[in-house]
Amino acid sequence: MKLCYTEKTDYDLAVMVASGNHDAFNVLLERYKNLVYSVVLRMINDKEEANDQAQEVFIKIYRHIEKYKPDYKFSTWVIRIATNHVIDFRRRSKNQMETGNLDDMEETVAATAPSPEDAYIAKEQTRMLTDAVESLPDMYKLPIVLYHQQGLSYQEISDVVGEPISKVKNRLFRARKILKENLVSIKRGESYV
Amino acid sequence: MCDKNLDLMMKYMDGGLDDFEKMNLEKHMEVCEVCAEDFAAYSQILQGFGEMELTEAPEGFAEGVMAKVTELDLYAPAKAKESRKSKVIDGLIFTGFGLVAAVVFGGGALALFGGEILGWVYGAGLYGIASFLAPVAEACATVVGNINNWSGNLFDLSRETMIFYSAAFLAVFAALVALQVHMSRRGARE
Repeated sequence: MKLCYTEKTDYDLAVMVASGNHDAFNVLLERYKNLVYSVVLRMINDKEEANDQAQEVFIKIYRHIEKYKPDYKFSTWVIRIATNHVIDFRRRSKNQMETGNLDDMEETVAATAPSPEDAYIAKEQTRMLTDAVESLPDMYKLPIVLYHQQGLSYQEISDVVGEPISKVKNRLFRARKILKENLVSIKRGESYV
Repeated sequence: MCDKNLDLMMKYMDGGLDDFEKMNLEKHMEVCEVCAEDFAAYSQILQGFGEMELTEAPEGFAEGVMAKVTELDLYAPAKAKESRKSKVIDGLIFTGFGLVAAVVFGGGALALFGGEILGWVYGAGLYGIASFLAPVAEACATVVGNINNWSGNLFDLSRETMIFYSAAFLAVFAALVALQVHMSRRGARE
């Protein structure tokens, strides 16, 4: 039965879920679990907590599935729920995002460098970037991760964060500048050592 | 950083730099060390994000979610509501059927067996009920008489045929009840 579901659109599946079909929800879960987990992990930066919170996100998706309208892509709707959930979670727990534990981002970097030295440099550069991304405030981190990592368009990010495109562009512009300044200053600092 | 080149670099980050713009930027960077350094940093950002793939959800993630969803089973009430709705409709149909039956066969019985019924009631000392039933029985007899007259005795509403109609009605009613029970059991299995 699930084989037939895989050919259905996200909206069709959402309608089926709202009529009590759990198999349809399982298909949606398989489609978007990595996306949701990645977004939550980027924002929380703690594997165990990200696992719990990403599961909570899916429960929220399940609870509100009747409200989904096909005006937006399902992925956009899902990311919006995920980001709002994490923001609420952090507000509730008053935990500021920790920096430094970036194993997960580093694990995902393809280790295809031709030599150990190049691999080390590539890893260091990625670590520098992930450090810089993690240190960004949410208002800048969210657009830059959604745009450059998740591949969302300006319009989709605008739908996710609930801000006009002009604001999204502006935040992305500033986020890039902050990241660039961080990387340049790190490099300059290193060159003095 | 030069303002014009900052715009170009942002365009580069968006993946929208054409060959002419790229050439201009490269030329400029040959003479501007700051822009060259900035461009290298922007390229590193772009490359770094390009290398970051989606992190796979941990093992057991989907199972954990589905266990909670199964426990919640939020949309099951929709089925129950539907089922309740259908039961109410069925109930109304049966009640309606019963009322029609009561009026038709009760009235028929009063019209055709009114004398006997009133005799039993008087015999039992229920004078109040008897005084209420007497005009009703008379009215029912008039209606039955009129139906027989208007239909040219097509329905032949005599005592014998009323008994036959009653038996037929009960048979149809029993068949409907059996069908309803069968449908309910099938629904419960599904």
